[in-house]
Amino acid sequence: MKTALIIFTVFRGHLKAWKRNKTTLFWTLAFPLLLMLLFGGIFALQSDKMDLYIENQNIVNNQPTLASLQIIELINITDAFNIIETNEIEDSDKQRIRTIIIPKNFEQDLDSGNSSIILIMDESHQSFSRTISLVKGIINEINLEQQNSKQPLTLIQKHIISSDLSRIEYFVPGVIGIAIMSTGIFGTIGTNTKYRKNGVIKKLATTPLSKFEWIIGLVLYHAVIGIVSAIVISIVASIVFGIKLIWSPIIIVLLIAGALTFPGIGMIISTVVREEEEADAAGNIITFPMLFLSGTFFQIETMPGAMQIIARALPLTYLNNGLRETMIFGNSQAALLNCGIVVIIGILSIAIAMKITKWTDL
Amino acid sequence: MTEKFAISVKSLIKQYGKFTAVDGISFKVKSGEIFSLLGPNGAGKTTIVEIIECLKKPTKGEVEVFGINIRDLKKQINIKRKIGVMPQNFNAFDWLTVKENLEYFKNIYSSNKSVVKLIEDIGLDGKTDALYKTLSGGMKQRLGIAISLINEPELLFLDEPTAGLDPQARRDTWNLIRKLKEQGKTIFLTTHYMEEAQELSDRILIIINGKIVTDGSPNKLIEEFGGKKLIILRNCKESLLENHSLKYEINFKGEVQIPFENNEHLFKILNIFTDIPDIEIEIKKPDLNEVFLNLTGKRMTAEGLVK
Repeated sequence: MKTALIIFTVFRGHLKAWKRNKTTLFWTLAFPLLLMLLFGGIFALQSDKMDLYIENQNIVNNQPTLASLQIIELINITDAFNIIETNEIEDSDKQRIRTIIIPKNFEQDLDSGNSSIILIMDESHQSFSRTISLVKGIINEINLEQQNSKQPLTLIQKHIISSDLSRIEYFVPGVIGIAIMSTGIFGTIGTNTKYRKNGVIKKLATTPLSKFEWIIGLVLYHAVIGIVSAIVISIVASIVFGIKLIWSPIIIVLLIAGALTFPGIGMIISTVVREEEEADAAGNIITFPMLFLSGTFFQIETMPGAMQIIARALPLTYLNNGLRETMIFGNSQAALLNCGIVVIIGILSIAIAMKITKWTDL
Repeated sequence: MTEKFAISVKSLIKQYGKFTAVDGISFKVKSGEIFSLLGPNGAGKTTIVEIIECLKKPTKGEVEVFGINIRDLKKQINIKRKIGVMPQNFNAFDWLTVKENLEYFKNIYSSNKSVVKLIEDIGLDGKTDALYKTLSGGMKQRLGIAISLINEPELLFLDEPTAGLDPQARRDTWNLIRKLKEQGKTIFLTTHYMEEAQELSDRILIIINGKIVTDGSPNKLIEEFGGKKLIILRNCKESLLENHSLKYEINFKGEVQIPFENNEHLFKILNIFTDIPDIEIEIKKPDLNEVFLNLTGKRMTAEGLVK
């Protein structure tokens, strides 16, 4: 009971200081939000056009029919799509977010007024409604030209589950990861060097407070502000970018594991490197590769081989993967695997931190 | 032996690499006294205190606090529960208020002490909800003392408690320390201020370069090492002093200094000057500054020892 009260006291002390200090609030909330809004904005500008796979089966004598070419041209004129023409049907390919199939007898059927095209798309995808309204607009246009026909061109919709991510969807869990990492590492380095310098640690060392209670209180605090920043980032992401995130208990476990890992690393750094400025520099050396190689900005699979190896050695990679698997894909199994790795790294780093930190030479 | 000792230090040595910070020191602190460790900056005072507080390990020698050996790591917690410490350059949590800081430490000790009462006692009533970082230097020091009292310790360590304070804040802190002695607490004071040691201490241990120079009550030290009491005369022409077979010196300010032994001697000398109107007379007793000067040949200043 006594230990619980002491740990709670340490935890509450950190939390109050965090709430009252504008600098720490900036780094845990404002910084990741700015990062997300800024890059979200850049991605939105870049990915103005949507990829559209067109499968033209209406081939006569090895030549696409005039009618099929006409409909492709009409789609092209809208300037909303990046048209990618393919020859093979690959409905198993989940990378294809939207595919239009022009059937074999399209031209023939169109003349007889009984034609259709097929749109294959994930109906839950955020761009679904925009896509469907654009495609329907094109069909209406063709129908108006075919006024003499009995039946207009119709659209057949086929639903698939796609795993395609817009860049911003890919990015949001990484922003949460960055928030957890930077607050964990820099927050702990800052607290330790400040309290060591101004004598708070020395005062604490003269009391019955144990190293264990102090460190657990610190971890709890990081877990809570990690959860707070994850919630805030998710809410802003859903309001601004319309991203729906899936919440599951695994996320809490991931955030707690992150609260073990990064404060642990921060403690190790500030024990090994004792000067304030040097400790900050060491923190930067550790966080910088994680910032860019842990799959927040770039997909790890697209990196050169050597970089991929480094990426796989970084704890943030697994936190990001775990968060992405749960929040975006709802894939608990993949999330659990990553979660397990982060938990192990977290326990290791906090154990090392506890071992090498000494009250007396703090 | 009827006397109880709060602290007992035997042949204590602390080395940092080749540098010897504390060089074979032995002393005892009685329960209920104000004991001062006096010495210039860098003399090894803080090292000694921090060894007694279980913050540093001694290289050699034995230290007992309330009869508990500080090398006994399992029992260190029993020492920590019974002592209150205000470290040198004390600071509390910047972003917590006066009350929250006290409650923080109260919880660590699972103490029952009333925080509100303690705030009143140290005269910070108006500042209960002020953040620590907004307090003045004197208030911070007083809060530091309050925090070190939260577990109702029998033994209180105050390491340079008035360093950097203005004269009024220093007087306030001294009064607080005197009150604590009246409550029966043993106080271990570390200071480089002569005046502070003289004002407060029952016993003083003077150390330089990690070694004990001497120890005793302020009066005993002054009597033994302070040298003669002096009559100081201003606006006094040297010609007046002739024909009286007086020993005298003229200091750098042009003042005449005449040493005297006792009251009889004093009146005899003063008699000479009864009819001289403009003369200004001051009687000066030696203080710890003279003790220090006579023992070391050096004067202690904030910057260290000066010849």
